[in-house]
Amino acid sequence: MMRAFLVFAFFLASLPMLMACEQKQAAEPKPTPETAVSDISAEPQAGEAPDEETALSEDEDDFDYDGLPSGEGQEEVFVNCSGCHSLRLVQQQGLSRHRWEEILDWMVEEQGMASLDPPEHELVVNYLVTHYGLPE
Amino acid sequence: MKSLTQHYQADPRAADHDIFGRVAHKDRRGFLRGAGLSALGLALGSAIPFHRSMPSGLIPVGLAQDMIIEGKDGLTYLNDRPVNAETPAHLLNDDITPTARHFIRNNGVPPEGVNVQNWRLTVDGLVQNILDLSIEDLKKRFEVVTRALVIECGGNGRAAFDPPASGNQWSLGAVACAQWTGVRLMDVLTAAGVGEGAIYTAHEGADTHLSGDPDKMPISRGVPIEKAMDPNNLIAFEMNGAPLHAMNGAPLRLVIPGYPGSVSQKWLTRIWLRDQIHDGPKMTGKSYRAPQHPVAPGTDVPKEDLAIIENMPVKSLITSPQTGAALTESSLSIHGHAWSGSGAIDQVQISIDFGATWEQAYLKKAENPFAWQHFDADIEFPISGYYEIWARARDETGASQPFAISWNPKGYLNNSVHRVAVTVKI
Ligand code: HEC
Repeated sequence: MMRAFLVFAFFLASLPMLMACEQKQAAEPKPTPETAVSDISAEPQAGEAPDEETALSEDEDDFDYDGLPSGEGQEEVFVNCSGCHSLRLVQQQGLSRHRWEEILDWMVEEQGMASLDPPEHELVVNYLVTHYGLPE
Repeated sequence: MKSLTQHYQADPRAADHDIFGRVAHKDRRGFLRGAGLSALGLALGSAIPFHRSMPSGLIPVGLAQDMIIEGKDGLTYLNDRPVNAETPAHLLNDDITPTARHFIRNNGVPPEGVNVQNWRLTVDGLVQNILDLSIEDLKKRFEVVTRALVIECGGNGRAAFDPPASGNQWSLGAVACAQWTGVRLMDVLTAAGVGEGAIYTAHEGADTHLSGDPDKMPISRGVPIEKAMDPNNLIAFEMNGAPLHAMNGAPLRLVIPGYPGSVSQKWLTRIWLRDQIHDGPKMTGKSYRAPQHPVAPGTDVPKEDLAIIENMPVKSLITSPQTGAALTESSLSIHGHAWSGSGAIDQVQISIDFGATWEQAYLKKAENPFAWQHFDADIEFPISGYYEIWARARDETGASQPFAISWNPKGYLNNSVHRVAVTVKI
């Protein structure tokens, strides 16, 4: 249930981005004078509205979490860590708990990640240390 | 690494995920916009108008070869969002790195819909005259020069750190030496008039932050004024005789050789002069900094003990033979390049016996300062067996390459001796 809810929440969270400002989310250049005049949205916008029904009813059973190994915290890491960059950035690492804590601080303080409430933070860090910790 | 085609054949949905970060809709047609779509669009060199009707798992025809980004070839992708890709050492064998083989280090999302005619560069801050220049203005007002210049990512070689250091796990190939054409940064700064008290530059580009927050910059670094005034730095608009590649900063970028690649701002829009060390994103904290004194591997070094990396260290790369080669003859010609952020290379030595004995390689002079220098050596293997070919360069300051990594917390500056393994069966 928890799993279903989180996946649902993830899609829900991505809806505004889908409907309104997908360009802004991923690709819009800063509104400097030159980009403001150039045509940055040459892509046709018609027919862009996502099919809510299908997006929301996504069956999560065959969802692979971008290759995150299953385990406690898998959804939380997927939901919190794949918005800005791909999870490849996470999956390349092998770090101590202390370094993971520092990375999460850096995400929040410098990169604009919303800070996680303590239980979720714990879950995320434990998952990262378990699966992407220091090699023995 | 599996080829794109193999990847798609094995599991199309997984391939979509891994390569483009696309999330399929329930009906398996189209994919969520945002992340994957822009990466895919960039990969094809244009946006995809009818992506909603593109079944997930279908390789767009433009990607059907083993090529992920148009105009790039043979790179190893460490990440697709943001794009980070390096070149296997044996594909860096050319004396001048072809654009297709030049590594990519993106910190954010490259600008889309770049318009060369409307592009503007502002030079401001502590200057006598603020400049606001188009690329045409740059070409008209300043001497246009072409130089072979090495750009190397500060984190090149990070993958070999033990304990590991965070960031993209570059192995050897986040380095290249292309022919860059542009105007001298020094000439432009002189025209602006370096103001009293200016000690540092600050560079800005048109790429956007991964979070989508328009008030955040992905990266903005700078260099001391003395380095900025070095005549070898360019504001470049051409790479190997053609306009810059989109992933290498088109239409305008800095090329400041000798320092970590991150100071060579891509998609350059602004250079401002400051009366303090620049404190933009990735200038502060642990980014592009290393301990001022040697530390034991794994040490937690406090921020105060870290200093901004300036000159990149002396280094060499064997580009032929390819590591893992199975040889059937006793004689072999070796080729490679050597470079240093602190001056010319004055010797390269080769060993095939794990460093017990060394012989001099034939070393060419640099085409211009900060170009890499090529070396060649002919070696004889006495008997069949497993060999490692090691190369070790020395620069004119007397510094040469170490055998072990001088460990630092963020995995920078790995210039340890390059080792290529071969088996010989005569
Ligand atoms: C708000 C955007 C955002 C979110 C959310 C986010 N990151 Fe990041 N992350 C970034 C940016 C920006 C970078 C720098 C990218 C680069 O240098 O290529 C980064 C880099 C990283 C790196 C590389 C660090 C290094 O030393 O270079 C790791 C590891 C990482 N993130 C892990 C995570 C994890 C784990 C999460 C989830 C808990 C997360 N990120 C969520 C924006 C974000």
